[in-house]
Parts: sequence; C-alpha cells; structure tokens
Amino acid sequence: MTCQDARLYLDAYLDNELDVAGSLRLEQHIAACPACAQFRRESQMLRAALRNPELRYQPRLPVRSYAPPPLRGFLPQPALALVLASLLLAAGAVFLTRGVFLSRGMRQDPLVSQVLASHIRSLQPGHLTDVLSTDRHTVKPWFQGKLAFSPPVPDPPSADWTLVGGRLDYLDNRPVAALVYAWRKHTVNVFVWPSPHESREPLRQETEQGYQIMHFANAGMTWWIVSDLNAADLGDFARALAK
Amino acid sequence: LTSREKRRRFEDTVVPLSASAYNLARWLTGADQDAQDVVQESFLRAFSAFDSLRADDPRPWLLTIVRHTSFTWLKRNRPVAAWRESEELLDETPAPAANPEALMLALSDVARVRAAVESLPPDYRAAIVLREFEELSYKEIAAVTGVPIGTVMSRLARARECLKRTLEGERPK
Repeated sequence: MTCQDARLYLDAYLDNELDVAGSLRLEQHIAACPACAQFRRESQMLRAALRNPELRYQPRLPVRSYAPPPLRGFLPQPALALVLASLLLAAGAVFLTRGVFLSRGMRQDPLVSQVLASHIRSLQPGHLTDVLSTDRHTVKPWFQGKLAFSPPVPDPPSADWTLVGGRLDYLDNRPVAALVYAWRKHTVNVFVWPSPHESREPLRQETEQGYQIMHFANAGMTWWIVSDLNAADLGDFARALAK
Repeated sequence: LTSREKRRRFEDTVVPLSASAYNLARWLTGADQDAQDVVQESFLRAFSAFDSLRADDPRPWLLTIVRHTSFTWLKRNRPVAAWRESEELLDETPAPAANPEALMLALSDVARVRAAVESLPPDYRAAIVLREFEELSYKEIAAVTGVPIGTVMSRLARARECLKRTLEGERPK
C-alpha cells in the first residue's frame, strides 16, 4: 500500500467503514511509515476536536414548537387544545419580541435603500469621486484625516476591473469610505466602514429597482456593494473582496 | 391510520429528532432564525410524507428532508452561498501537518474549529456534520446526500484534510 492510498483510506478506517483486509494492510503500512503514523495522530486529534459537543447547535425554542400545525378537520381535544394554545402563545411571543420589522432578509434593512440612494446620487455628474485614481496607493492615503479609520482598498480582482477612485460618503449615521470600481461601463460603489462588533456576516444579495446590492462583514469591516452589473459578475467581485 | 393516530405517531417518532434537524439546518443556513424556518418547513414536509416512512430509524429519513429543504432555502435566499454547492475542494495528496504544534493549538480552540467547518462548501459541511455530530454511517450519509458511498468517503477525506490545513495555517487572533 502506498502512502497516498493509506491517507485516502485512513478516514474510512477510523470511521470503521473499511473492510477487514483493507484495515490490515493499512495497519501494516502505518506501522512501517512514520509520516503516515503522524498523519493518523493528527486525524485522531481532529476527530476528537470535532466531537466536542459544544460545536453542536442547540435549538433555542422548545422541541414542541417545531411540530406541524394540527390536521385539517381534527376534533379538538382538551390536551391538544392546550398544546395549540401554547403554540399560539409562543408564536405570538416570538412575533412580539422579534418584531415584524426586524428582520431576516435584507429587504427590510433600511441601509439597503440608503446604499442604493447613495449609489444613484454618485452617478449624477460630478458626484462620483473626490479622489480620482486607479492607484490604490493614492486612493487609500487620501482618506487619512478624513475618516476615523483607514479603509481597506482592495486591488481589482481581475483585468476586467479597474479602480476609479474614492470619496467620502455618509451612511448608517456615520462617515464612510466609498470606493469606486468599474467593470467596463458599469460603475460599482463599494461602501466600507468598521463593524460595530466583531462579527462575520456571510455574503447576501438583494435586487432593488434593478440594482444588485450585496453585503457582508469580515475582519471587523462592514461592506456594501452596489451596481447595475449582473448578479453573477458582481457576486464574483464581492467574493474576491470577501477573501 | 386515522389522522389523529398519524399525528400521535409523528409526535412520538419524528418530533423528538428536532435537535438533530435543527443542528443540520443551522450548520447549512448559518443563522438561527433561518434554521428555525427550515426546520419548521421540513417538519411540514415530513408530516405529509410520513406515510412513506418505512425505515426503522426515522433519523436519516428526516435529515434527508432537512438537507433538501436547507439547500432549496439557500438557493432561494442566499444564491451566492449556494453557488458553492458544486464547488470541489482542492485535490491534493493528504500530508501530515508541516507545523503540528500550530494544528494542535488550533484544535483546542472551539471557535476556530467552528469557523473552519463553516468555511467548507455546503455539501462537505453537511458530510462532516452528519458523520461527526450525528454519527451516521457512510451508507446513511450516502442516502441523505444522494451520492454514492465512494463520494461520501472522498468528500469526508477531503473535508478533513481541508480542515487540518485551514487550522494549521491560521494564525490565532
């Protein structure tokens, strides 16, 4: 058995999914190969770390609340009625505490309309950039003294993209950095500012009035990306920034 | 089966599996509220398909529904994340860590292990969750994710190799 085979089958071996003959050959190989023996120790440690019950997510609501609604036409019984009533109460409580407006999607996020408004305003003649440069070493220092943070100015991810410049903008009740990129004739505004808390948010996207709006947070910064570019290309761009 | 009887049997056999259902949905959707929505929808689907449940162990059957519902949900609500569904991890020959101390240190930090698992493409993440947290067999994972057993084996091997490399390479904050 080669090292390559041994490492391919090791997981199945540790999972007790390898047949007896295969297991024997693997054990013989590992006994004679220090590198594969080390590989096995690391696999065992990883396994132990993944079995940590803390990694499991526990539902915050009681199990009952996931039960489906009662069947159509069933006769209410006192016990069932009680369950139903508590379900309704629980649903009501969830509704009240979470609020209808606080929400899961981005659509209700007031920032979406702010970001879009800012994007459209920037497209009016003369509003797009305060500093006009394709050089990030010109754009980034320009923000010095104008913002209380130093915004990251990522390089354009590929030759299709160009950095156009930057400007100051005002979003979420604070001054923010607006970076302007272009993909051919499409203008892309990238708004960035420090997140209020150290949070990571996965990339989300939303279509609003024909514009694509994407949002994510990582490494302590909140990012909003808006353009009339198609979702696929803008998504690639956003993912490149999120790396 | 009268409808009341069906409901009672459903509550006895399937509803107690809520924790497993929630755990998988939470890992796949990435957020509590979204996982709750997915679990609720999964239970509705499970209830209407309850008559088709033949297996002795309803857990793989329920998790199949949860996984499917999670992916449908991802495609509809997080198209960017769902793009990664078909993504393949780098196919390199697995090797021992170049820096075993760094790996060991990272493994002792639950937050880093969690972040590493979260960074896997969804189907690899599902394989890890089903194997390590739900302790399903390869055969059951194959049934839940709808791929051959060989694919389950290689996905798990690659996912674990990827986890080791991610953890070994990260510097602690």
